[in-house]
Amino acid sequence: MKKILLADDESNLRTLVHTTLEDSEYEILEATNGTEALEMAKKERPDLLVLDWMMPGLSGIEVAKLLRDDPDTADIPIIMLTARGQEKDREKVKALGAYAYLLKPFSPLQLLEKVRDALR
Amino acid sequence: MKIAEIPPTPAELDPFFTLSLDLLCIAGFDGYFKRLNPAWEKTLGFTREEILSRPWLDFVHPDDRDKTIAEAQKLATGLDTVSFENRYRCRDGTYRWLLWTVTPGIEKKLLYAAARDITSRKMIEEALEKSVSLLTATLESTADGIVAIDGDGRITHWNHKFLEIWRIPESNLPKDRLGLAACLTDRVRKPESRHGLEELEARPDADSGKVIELKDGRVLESYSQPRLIGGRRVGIVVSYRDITERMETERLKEEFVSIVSHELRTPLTSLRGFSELMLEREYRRSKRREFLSIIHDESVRLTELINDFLDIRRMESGRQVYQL
Repeated sequence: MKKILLADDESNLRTLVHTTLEDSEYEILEATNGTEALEMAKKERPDLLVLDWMMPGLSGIEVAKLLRDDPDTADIPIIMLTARGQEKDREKVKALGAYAYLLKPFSPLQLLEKVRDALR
Repeated sequence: MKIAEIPPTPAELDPFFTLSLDLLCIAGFDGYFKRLNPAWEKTLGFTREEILSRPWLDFVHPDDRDKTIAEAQKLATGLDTVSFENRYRCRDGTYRWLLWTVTPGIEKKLLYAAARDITSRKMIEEALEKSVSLLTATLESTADGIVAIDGDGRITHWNHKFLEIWRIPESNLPKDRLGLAACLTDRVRKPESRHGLEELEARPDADSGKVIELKDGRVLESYSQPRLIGGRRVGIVVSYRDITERMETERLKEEFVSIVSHELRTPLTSLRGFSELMLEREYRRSKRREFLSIIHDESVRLTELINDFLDIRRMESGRQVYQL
């Protein structure tokens, strides 16, 4: 079973993403902030990360950077969820080498599609 | 062999008197001209008879009469006039500026004088003075700091705003580009970053909107324009504008948009996401209730957020209250 780590500080959004993905054959782990996400990613070695950008403490971008710098976690694909839709924000995510970038409000079915693609 | 200079005879001198472009004359202590060369007619437009028939003071500009009388009294005591200027009236009513050298002949009670028409020089000087006063007023009336450097690297012009922006005491202003460049380098945040006073050869023809960060946190914008004479670069003018406030406003605006965007998009994500899931998939009644209550709560939160933003906008604009 593929392991997905989901990090978002908003409980409703965690519920949404969790509900979207739970019908499928995925084990879903949840983190409520960036620091927790970083620790869990290192410990659990998930197959995919769904990261919110703006979180208190470590941001999604910072978590992604730290994981990229560690050879053990550098290859984990990342789907970034963000409320920041400006051109330079998009460039920032691209530069990070994230697998995909979804702008809120996103379609859950589209998210599911991206997750499947990433894990294929 | 010694060559002795032979003094010219009066007859030999006469052609010079006639040909001279300067106005030559002999005048009496009685206030009348006695003899005039043809240059007088050409310059003033009167015939020599007309000029000889009236006291010379009649031709002098009213504003110059007092100083002219004073000069004539000085001559009567035996002193020479070396460089005296006054205006003479022409037939058409205009005036010409004359520059005088005069020597008195006390025994004969005569004045021997040569005058040069310097009207065009006076007009150029006047135009130049006007340009300079315009330049000075323009320099000081602008909100930008401006400095001008000539082709040899000398600082030729600057305004007080320039000193103020760069925080340079007037007494410490360097005299040349190199000194000033060092002074500005001291004040920029990174020593290697540009300050607008780089080598003249190393810069493009005109420069606009380059941003300069200072150590004290302020941000300047520089513009420059080469000084050209006949297409040749003979210096440069550089202006600086303090854009700290503008940058800060832009940053705050961006931050505000980013926060608003985040705050609005987050609840919207729940609305869109849960409704889409319920439309696409079958859920048990208890699940549906859970999702609907999230949708409801988030729409209430969204309404509150929008009201808060409208309040902020209202406070900013001071406009009338309106209900949503």
